[in-house]
Amino acid sequence: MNVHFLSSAEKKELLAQLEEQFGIEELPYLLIETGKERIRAFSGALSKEELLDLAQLVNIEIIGLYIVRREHDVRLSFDATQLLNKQLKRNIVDITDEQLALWIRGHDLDTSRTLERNLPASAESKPFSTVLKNPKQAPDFNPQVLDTAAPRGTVIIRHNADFFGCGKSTGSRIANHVPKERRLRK
Amino acid sequence: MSQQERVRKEYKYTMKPLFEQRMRSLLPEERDFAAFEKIVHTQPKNFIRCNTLKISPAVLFERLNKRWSVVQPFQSYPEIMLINNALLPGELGNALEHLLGYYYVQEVSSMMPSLALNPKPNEKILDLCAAPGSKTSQIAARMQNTGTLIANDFKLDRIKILAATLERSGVSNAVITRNDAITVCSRLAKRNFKFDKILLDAPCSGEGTLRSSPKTFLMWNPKMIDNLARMQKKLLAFALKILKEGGTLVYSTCTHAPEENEGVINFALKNFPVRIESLSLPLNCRSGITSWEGEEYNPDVKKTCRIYPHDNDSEGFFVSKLTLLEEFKETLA
Repeated sequence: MNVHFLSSAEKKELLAQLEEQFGIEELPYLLIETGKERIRAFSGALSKEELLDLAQLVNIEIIGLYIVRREHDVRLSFDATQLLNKQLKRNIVDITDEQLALWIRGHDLDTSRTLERNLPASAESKPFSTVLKNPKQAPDFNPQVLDTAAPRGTVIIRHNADFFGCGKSTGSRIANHVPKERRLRK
Repeated sequence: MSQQERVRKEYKYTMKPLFEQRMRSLLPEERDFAAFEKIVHTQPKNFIRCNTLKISPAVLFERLNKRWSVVQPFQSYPEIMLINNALLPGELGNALEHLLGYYYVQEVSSMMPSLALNPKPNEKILDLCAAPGSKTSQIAARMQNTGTLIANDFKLDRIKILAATLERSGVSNAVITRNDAITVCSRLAKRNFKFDKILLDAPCSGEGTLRSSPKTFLMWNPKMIDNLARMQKKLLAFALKILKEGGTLVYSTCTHAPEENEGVINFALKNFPVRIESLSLPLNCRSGITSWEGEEYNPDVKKTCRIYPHDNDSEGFFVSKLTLLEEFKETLA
């Protein structure tokens, strides 16, 4: 089994990145790094030692759920945006029905037009999300039209209460990272 | 023209004569057999299972009911939903909620083994022949992603499907292993690695899947049944080695062949310290049969559950539940 269990220091470092990017404050999982800088979360009762012991006996293919990919920044997997949705506070882009139809078919989103920036109802907290056009708002966000660009870097895509993974934003365009097997067929 | 000839002209696939003869032995009343024969040439109903790891049945029901006519047929199992519409091919699989992993398309009879297993949070559970993962994800949902769920299968292409199912369902408490089932059991037994519950949904001749997979009409052959029955007995014997005392093993197949069903349970009752449990499932079940082709089975096999397609407008299944009364002690060679 070619995996690396994240030490508490590594987990702390990852959590700090996730907190800075998305506001995620806790990851109550055993974290395992597999190939391609992918990190998986295991919520089962087996400890690291028990999993290693098990790997001596049987051929383990996969442990837990793929949640994060570490690149220049960290990118949550499609399912992690749902798993951790209650903790997500920053870099969320709300999309319209029309944009969802494009996004879920694997298209990039053009965000150069009609950008609005959402400021949270509580003024002291930093998180913000960006809305494109005029979708239904989450109740705790207070939309204000700003002529700034969308946040750069990895952003989370939300449509109403549903989360649709992450994309890479240049400020005017969001590159699609929906896995092929999770896209709608034409 | 005889009735049989009419049937053969009417349907694209027909039962092989020996298969028909066996089914007539299982369903001796003409009306009963006719109902079976009629329904196996129709498409199964569109059942889905709400993935409670991601969404509540109430919320999913509200969403889907705006698009389709949705029914929750079982009060105790609100996660089971029936879509009462004529759907286009692939419509259920290409819906947004399916891509989000909010539901899994699963035939209702195939949900019964996991319900019989009755998984609870924090248990240690093994799904020995897990791919494609429908029952595994159902078990994980009942465990609320806690405890430990080991999902095993043998072939890499099947493992890939299993992994995709668990990923889509947001399952985080599972370890997927790729091994021959006998090897897994014997290796774990040597290290005294035991489970609270085991699901053995055994590879079978698939007689219960005629509605969704009509090619089974063509592929069916009696030699396959004998070979499978031998393998199923071996699988069950090895699985019992890694079950805790008082633990539960659910043995299920999607076939009607008694050799693969009551015959296997009879073998377990004869050779191992197990007790067969009565089942309370939300489908119409017929009792297991106690004799077949001259062989008499332990009368307790009546407690097993035969699910016939025409009793529930479903696919066919067989479900049984065993309790291990005395733990196996692995003897060192």
